[in-house]
Amino acid sequence: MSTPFTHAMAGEWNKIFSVTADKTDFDQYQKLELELATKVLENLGYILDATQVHTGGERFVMSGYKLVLTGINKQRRKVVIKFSSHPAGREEIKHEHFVSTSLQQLDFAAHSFAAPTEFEFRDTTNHTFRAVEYVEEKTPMPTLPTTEQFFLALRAFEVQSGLHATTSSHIKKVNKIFGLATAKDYLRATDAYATYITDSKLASSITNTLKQAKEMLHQHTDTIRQYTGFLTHTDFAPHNVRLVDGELYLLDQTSLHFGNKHESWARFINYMYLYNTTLAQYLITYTRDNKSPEEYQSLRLMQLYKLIYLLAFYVGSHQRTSGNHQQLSAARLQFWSEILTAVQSDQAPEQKLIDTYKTTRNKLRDKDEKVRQRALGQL
Amino acid sequence: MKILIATALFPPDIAPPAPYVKELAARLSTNHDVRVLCYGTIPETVEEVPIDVIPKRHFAWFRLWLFTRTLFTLTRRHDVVLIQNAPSTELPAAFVGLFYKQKLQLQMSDQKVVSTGWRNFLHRFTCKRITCIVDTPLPKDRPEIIPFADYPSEAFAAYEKSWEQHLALLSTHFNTV
Repeated sequence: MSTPFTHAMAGEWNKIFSVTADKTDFDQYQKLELELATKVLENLGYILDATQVHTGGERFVMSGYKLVLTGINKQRRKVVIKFSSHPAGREEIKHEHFVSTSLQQLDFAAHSFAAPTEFEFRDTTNHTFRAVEYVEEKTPMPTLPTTEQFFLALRAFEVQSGLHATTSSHIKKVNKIFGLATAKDYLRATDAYATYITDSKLASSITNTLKQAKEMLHQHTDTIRQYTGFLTHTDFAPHNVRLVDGELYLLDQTSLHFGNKHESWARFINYMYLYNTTLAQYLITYTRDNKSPEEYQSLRLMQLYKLIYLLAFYVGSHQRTSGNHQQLSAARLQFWSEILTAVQSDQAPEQKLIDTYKTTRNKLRDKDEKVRQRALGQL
Repeated sequence: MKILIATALFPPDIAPPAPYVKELAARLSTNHDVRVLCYGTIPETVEEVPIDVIPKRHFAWFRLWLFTRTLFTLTRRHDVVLIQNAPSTELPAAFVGLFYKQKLQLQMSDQKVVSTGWRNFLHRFTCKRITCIVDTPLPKDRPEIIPFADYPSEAFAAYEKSWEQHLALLSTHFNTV
């Protein structure tokens, strides 16, 4: 089967179907990569932080063969550096550089958003790295009152939907840089993820729900198509948003593509079921009360799509891990299966389900992952 | 009365005047037969309002030609054609106006359209081929219902009143046809 069309979708696809290393392999890769990165960056005047929080924990199941490092550059500016000598990791970093430089040139944007300043980008014969400004928030989004988070989220959604590729000239411009995710791409990916989940037999309790969710997506292809062509962030979550002095920053630009407008909303709302159920419900209610029935339907469809992806991701994670990591993947499969059932029925998930899962998750997470999550502002 | 609304933007487009045009079509359809001609892919539906769509993905001149052809055909079947201002609607209107000037009204619903250079020339050219320019103030934006706030009853009352006034003013233009 051919891979999904856009770089962002391919990134998600690869996290399930192309990552084959287990933790031991990854640790070995990371050790060698870190040695190389340290040597290269220190020669260029960077000082890396003694503790690198983004190299530990569960990074190995999602990393994509690149390092995310923090430090300071020669000008004493705090930086985030993505570094890789692996072909896939290098490709991702190059793409992010390309997207970042191209985004500001799109002349049909109704709104604009900020991106961290790129201080340095190097693509040599054996490695690639990109050093960008570390955007520090005085008050991370999850610490804001829920009502403020609500308005911040809406603002971020509005900024993304201000870029809408409709005409042939828009499409030509964005296709080269981001790719254009079509309704067919979403359905193709859904079918592949659903088959992967079913074949694994790890989520047998939701076979029917999965089938119904898939059918719902297929039956409403036109609604998915109706809202494609919008800039959307496939991993829109608090750790990829920064509000600094009134300026909104969207991070991780490899996750940007032109697709269904509600893909980023869906990712955010699904995420918030776990971290702030009230906010998730506010956003759903807001959409139902203020947007057209088609928009609300599109949001629900994207929620289903993102949940099916998440389940496929944790199936893959379960197969590549052992011990506590594997038990954690199993717990996640159970949890997100219940969320899929709730969303499929247009119901709010029960708080008891969320609390039970969080207790299990916190017991099973290792120390490094807890540190990483704290750094991401999620603990 | 049969009214055709020709517009460059219609939801899911988000830029003004897309939301206004959709609401206008819905409200006018309570008393008139309304049809919409727009550019797009799959427009949001409005009950009782058929919508003709010219795909935006075609090359510019081809879609302009398709819009002109459809506008010409539909104008014959309608009493009033309300053209929402934009270069991509005004150029077709200028052509159709050669034949059906008395039916065409140009509504200045998009305040952001910049009329300089060739756009200004096109706009002046089109104005000679329409029966009138409708420059009534637009109604207030629909108030938002915020889940954790009180229902904005007063804001909705003001919104409805602004629409009543707006439609009353528009009707005076329709009645001149």
